[in-house]
Amino acid sequence: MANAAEILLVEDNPNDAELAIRALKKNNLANNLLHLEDGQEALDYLYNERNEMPKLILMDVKMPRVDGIEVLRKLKSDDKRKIIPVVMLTSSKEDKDIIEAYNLGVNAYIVKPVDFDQFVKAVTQLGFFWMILNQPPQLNKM
Amino acid sequence: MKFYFNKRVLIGFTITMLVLLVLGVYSYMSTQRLMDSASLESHATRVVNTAERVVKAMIDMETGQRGYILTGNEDFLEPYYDASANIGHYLDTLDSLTDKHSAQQPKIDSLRVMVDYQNHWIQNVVALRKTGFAEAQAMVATGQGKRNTDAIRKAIKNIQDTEMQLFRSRSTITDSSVQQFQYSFVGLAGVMMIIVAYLFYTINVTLGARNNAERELVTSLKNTRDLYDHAPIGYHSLDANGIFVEMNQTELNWLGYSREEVIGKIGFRDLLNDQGVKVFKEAFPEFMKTGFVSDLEFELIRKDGSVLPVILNSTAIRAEDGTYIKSRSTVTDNTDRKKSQDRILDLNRELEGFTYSVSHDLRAPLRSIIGYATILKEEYYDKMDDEARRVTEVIIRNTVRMGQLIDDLLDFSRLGRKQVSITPINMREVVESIVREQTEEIKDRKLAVKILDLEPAKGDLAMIRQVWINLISNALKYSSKKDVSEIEIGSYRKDGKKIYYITDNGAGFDMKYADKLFGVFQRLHKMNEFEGTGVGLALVKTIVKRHGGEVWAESKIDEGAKFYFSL
Repeated sequence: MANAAEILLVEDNPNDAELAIRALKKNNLANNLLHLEDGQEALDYLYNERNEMPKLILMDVKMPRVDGIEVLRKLKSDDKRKIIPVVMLTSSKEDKDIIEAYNLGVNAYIVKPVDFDQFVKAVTQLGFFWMILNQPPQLNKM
Repeated sequence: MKFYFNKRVLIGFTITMLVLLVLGVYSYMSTQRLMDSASLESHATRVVNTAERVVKAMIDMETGQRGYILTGNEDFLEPYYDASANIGHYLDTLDSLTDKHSAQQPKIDSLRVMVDYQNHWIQNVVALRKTGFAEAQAMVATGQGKRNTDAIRKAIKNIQDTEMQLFRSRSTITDSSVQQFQYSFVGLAGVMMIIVAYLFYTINVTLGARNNAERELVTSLKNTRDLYDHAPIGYHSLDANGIFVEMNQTELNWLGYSREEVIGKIGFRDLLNDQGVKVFKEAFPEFMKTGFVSDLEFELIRKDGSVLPVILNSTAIRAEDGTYIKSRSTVTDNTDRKKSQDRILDLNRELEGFTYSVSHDLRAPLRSIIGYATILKEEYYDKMDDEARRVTEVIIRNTVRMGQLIDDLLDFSRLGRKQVSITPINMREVVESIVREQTEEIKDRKLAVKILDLEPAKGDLAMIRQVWINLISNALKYSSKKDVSEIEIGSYRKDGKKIYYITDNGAGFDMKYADKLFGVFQRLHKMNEFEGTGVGLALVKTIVKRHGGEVWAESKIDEGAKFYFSL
């Protein structure tokens, strides 16, 4: 079955995922969202030829099996997939993660605020920017 | 001293040579005179002896004549004939011996006449005896013969005396002159001995001094060499081509080489691995420019292939025209330091891993708690009573605060590991922009912020910015309960240090607790008075310390506070 998700949420923590989805839903941004639970699942999805490429990937950094940085590295070194906007959503404020992500070509790097209201604000703004304001290149089936 | 010594020895030897020359010439001349005298003496002796023979021949003639007269036997005439035959010969010899002497010649001539006369007279007497004894006796009795003989004796004596006198007058050698020569010789020899002795003494003393100096030099060289070789630090020198020209024993031991294997044989490059080559390529232009390099850290390859971590300091030695001749280096064994460094790096990595997981894993559940509590508060508002709503608020507030504490703690721990990168900082600009940002959020408050001219500084811009952010936000926070927040920011110089200060008219604090002010999580106010985690001033202190400065504060309760920091 071919999937055509617009937003790919890659997050291993189910609570964080739920809260993020809630925040996006509040603003009607989660209609076409697919939640995957780690980097390996994300890669499996993105490298399945039958799937349409998402408009935005929201991804945690620290995940079991394949972490977010690894997925990012793979996507950004792949000519076909490097145009997909990737936003790292992470708990970590660690400089080295931020630097590495930007070196690899991340499109944005958001430190998830602890405060839920701010979290909702951040996720909503992200959704608006990337899904509505941002003009993505035409993505075809790969 | 040396010149003086050389001069003295030279003069001494010259005098000795001169004295020797004088002695030689004097001896030669004296010997010549002795030889001359000897030849004169032998000549005189020959004259005297020949004259003696004349006398003897004359006596023989007379004896023969007398015997014949008394006996009439012609055999007695034998000595007479012999003597009269020889006497002419003797007279000739005498004549030739004295031919160069004008005073003797007439005497010889007259002697010859007298001898002829006597010979003639004897012939007459002998002829008369043939006639008869009495006639001959009468003729002898006249005494003529005896008178002749006496006259001849006298003449010969005269010749002999004259000859001796002549010899004495010609011979320059006298007892006194011999004595004089002996004295002079002994005197000169004595002088020479004194000079030689003096020279010997001088040379000996100087040689002794030289030997002492040499011994001292050798000892001092040995000590220096010992220090060089066995100092607990490596020393080596390289020529312009980077070949070892010297290396001390300590470094040789470290590297496992013998001196013979290193000096003039291998170059510094041979002991470097790739990383070391890189270090030196980077440091070399600086070394050629300034003439030294300090604290280069790299590894040397030992003879057995293992590596020795070292710290090297090197100085270039140049000729007067500036051309590079060689380098002199000290090498410190960096094994222990490297170990400690590695240990620190390990610990830092551990700490980093720890803070990483703190920042990641501790914040995630907090987010869930707040998230779900917020859902409760918003979506189940109608179903909760007031107490349930209050409790939910408390949960959220405390969880937010815990998130804040974790963030501040992480900031603080991160700061200690962060590299300080020094750049010039326009303090006034920095302060003005922070004040602008922070007052933007509290437009409703009455503020009187005065920013005076601030000394420009050098430091890590992000860190110094953080210092001002914390100090300014504190000043705003603690003066928030006043009608007008009065804040002044300024700077001055004292003892070569730049001192920055910020005063406020806020709540202030009790100086009793001043020492707690800058500790982590130390707070002097209650949570419900002023919010905060107690990390801000600890951060300020850490940053200022890392810039080599100090931080302190003055205050009285309710009379505001003044915070200082120096750079």
